Amino acid sequence: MKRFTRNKKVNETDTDIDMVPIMNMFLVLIPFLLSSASFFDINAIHTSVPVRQTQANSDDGLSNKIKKIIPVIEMKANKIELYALSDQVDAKNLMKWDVSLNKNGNIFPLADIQIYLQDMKKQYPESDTILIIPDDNILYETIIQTMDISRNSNQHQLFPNVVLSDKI
Amino acid sequence: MALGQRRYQRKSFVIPKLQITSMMDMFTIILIFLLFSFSDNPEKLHIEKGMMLPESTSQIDCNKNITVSLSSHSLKVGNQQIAVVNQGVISGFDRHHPEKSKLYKHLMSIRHNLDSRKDQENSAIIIFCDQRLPYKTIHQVVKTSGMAGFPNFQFAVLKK
Repeated sequence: MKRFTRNKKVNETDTDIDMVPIMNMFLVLIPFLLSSASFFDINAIHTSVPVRQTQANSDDGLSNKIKKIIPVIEMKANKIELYALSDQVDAKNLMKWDVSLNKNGNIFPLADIQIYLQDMKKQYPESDTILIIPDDNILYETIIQTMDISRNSNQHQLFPNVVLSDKI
Repeated sequence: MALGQRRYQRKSFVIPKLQITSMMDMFTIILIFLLFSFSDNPEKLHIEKGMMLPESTSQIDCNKNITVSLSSHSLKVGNQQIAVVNQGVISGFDRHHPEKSKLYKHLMSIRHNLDSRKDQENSAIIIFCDQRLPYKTIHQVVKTSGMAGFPNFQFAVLKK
């Protein structure tokens, strides 16, 4: 028995995997990945301010048979007023879109606004611009949240061109 | 007897192998983490200390053009401080006459430089703004940028 165990020890080969080359590779990869890692993923929201429209530009819109409408979100201290602007839709139809939503405590009813915008997008699918008019004391964070719900809903694009404006 | 035993012990001494299994585990975890946070276009953007950017669902990459940084205590264009912000009020800024402000003059000089070089690609402004600031403060900067010939701009946000 003793002889058997002695033989076994002699024949035993070292089965450890040599991990030194892998370690070397890791040491090269880690500094490279560290240099190109982004710990803060900063994205951007394209926005614009209203610019004076030339007559030629507005005529372009009128010659197009597809009607376009611009929803307006007016963010006030205690409520949100929603309405629509268009030079291609008559006043009676525009009046249908006049809605006022009260705040739920300190929270703006963003879900309700999104439903409103979805309905508008269904009726005027070619529309792509939205006007947001925040009150002086509305926080930037709330404006960004409003922009988010205005641009997309459940992976569907609503109004990607957001225009920030002062009260007209 | 005792001496003989000691000599035998010295002969059978085997160099101990370095146990790198745990180190390998650690490196693997670091490697996976770094692979996930790998960015093909890493931008070096300087964010003001204490600035809190809002979170957004936007998927658009931000272009590093002209950076305007509006924090709760300062207004900067690039690395240059333009004005001091105190409780949401930008010093030396007249709301009714933004064209008299230092920001307007600074942006106008940038506009002239871009126009002279006919560089329209890098003419977008990216605004880094603290999420706790009210719209009245942001609007002054946005309005002045528009008047200085930068009507299109980007708001920098953190990916949700």
